[in-house]
Amino acid sequence: MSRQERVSWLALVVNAIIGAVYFQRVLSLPATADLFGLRMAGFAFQLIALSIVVSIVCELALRLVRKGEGSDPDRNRTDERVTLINLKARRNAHAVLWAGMFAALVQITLLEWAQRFGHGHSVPQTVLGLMVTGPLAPMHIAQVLLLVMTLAGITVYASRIFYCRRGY
Amino acid sequence: MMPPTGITNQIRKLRFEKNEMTQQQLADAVGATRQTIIAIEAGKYAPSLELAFRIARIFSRGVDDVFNYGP
Repeated sequence: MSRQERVSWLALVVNAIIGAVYFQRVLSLPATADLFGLRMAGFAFQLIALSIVVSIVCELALRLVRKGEGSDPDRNRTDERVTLINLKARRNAHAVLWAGMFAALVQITLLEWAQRFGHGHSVPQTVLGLMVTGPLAPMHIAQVLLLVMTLAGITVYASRIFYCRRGY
Repeated sequence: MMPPTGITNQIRKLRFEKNEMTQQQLADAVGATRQTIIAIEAGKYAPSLELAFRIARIFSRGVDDVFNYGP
């Protein structure tokens, strides 16, 4: 496994864990919760600390693996194939970002129309329910955009791993 | 069997003819990573024209002696 692939695995694991913990917590909050309040800020800081700890643990694990394999001369080398892989990974992430933003815009528009034209809906219990049935506040829209950005970030690392394994 | 890129190559054979040159030595000589040399040898990656020329020059051959394209 190349260094690029290992680093991508590390970033993928960290992003997936942090994203899963964050959105699992946020989406299950009561619909009336203040997403920009002090408690959420504390939770966000805890997650940042967790991401640093997970990164350090994973990096140490990678170093232990590498120690047994000797030094890697390609450690800091970038060539045309590596550049191509990075470009393709970013292209895929751009597609995910674009599709996610488009889906979010459609959802926001439909919820707004449903409210404007008086179509009744059940009162949601959680933030997730609120995102499906509305009405959305700016803090909820911010969470949707954050989710899309997180998915795009994960796509970059997953794509890198895929192309490294395939050859380019 | 035809590789996915449609390009076959003689790199492996030429490496062994050149004092059993390793993939890492070839990678260092052309400024690429060993993973790239592995991918090229396996026919999974089609190198740029520049890299193909650099590889051919290491073996003192022409590009079409090292790489072949054909269905």
